[in-house]
Amino acid sequence: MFDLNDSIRCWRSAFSQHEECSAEDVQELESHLREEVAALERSGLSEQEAFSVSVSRLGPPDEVCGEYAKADPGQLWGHRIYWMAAGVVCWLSVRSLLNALGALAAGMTLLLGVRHGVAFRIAGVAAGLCSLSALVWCAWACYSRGLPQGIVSRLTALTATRTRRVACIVGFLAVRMSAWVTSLLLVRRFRTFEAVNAYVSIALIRTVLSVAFLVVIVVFVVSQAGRRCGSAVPTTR
Amino acid sequence: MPQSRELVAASATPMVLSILNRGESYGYAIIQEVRRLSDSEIEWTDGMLYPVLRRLEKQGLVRSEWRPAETGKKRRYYWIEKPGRTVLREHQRQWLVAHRVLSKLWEQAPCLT
Repeated sequence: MFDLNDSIRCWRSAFSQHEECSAEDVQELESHLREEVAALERSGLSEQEAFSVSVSRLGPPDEVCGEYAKADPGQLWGHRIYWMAAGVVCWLSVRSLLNALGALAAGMTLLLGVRHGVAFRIAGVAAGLCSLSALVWCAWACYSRGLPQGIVSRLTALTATRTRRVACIVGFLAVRMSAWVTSLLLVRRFRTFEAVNAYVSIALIRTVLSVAFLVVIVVFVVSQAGRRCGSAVPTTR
Repeated sequence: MPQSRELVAASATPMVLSILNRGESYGYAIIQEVRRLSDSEIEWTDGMLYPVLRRLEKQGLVRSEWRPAETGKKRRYYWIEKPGRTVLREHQRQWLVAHRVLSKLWEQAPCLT
């Protein structure tokens, strides 16, 4: 049974895979497609026939997106730099997680009064590596199977516009800087057991926030990947 | 014989600017207008119009904004700006020169049939 909205969703995902086309461009093309389908239906074609003709009239996604790239090469590079920045934020998040677990191990060493905390440090690093593996597995599971749509749409809305994405990155970096400065000041000022406690607490807060930002970025990547499509979409004229 | 790709590409910008010079419009309507005026002899690959509109907007010749349409969905409307009118006048001059030269050549050419 032909479903127009499902077919349009599949058609959109073919365009969304091209970084040359922004979400607004794809929105505009979809608006055109729907008007063409409506006009062809009025002239007597069935919904499926109208959709096939409209898609072939619009042209193959590769060619259309290639023309967009020629029209505005600056936008393409802006998009690439954004993803490079997102990759750096991802790496910083993972590093924070490992640092925090290492700090936790060091804190526990001091609390238990053990002089040589090598075993605890190794445990901390191992825990960090297991967490990293679990995160990578989660990201792969999300990519291949997809997250529940409710979570995806809410978290995608958080990174929907360029302003929000920039705000996420700036917020993350501000948290990292403030946590690092605070812990450094505390340890330098007090050099006591309480300061070590405070350092571990701040490291844990940093971990939670880093993981939260990491999840947002992973979900953003997942949302860009698009859903699997059932029906084949004609692309040649 | 269908229109040559080079001719379609070269004429796209002056056609779009001329249509927008009459009044603001949106992508689908621009394509329909070109089809109507050419008696369907000129059939653009619809998707190719939008990169042209993007390029014209980036050059500052046209501007656009999203508005709600009568269908209930949003539509992107375009209108021409002052630099666009200047560029359009130059296109008009160049095309009229080419038209004049070709007209003279074809009137003077001996009949081949």
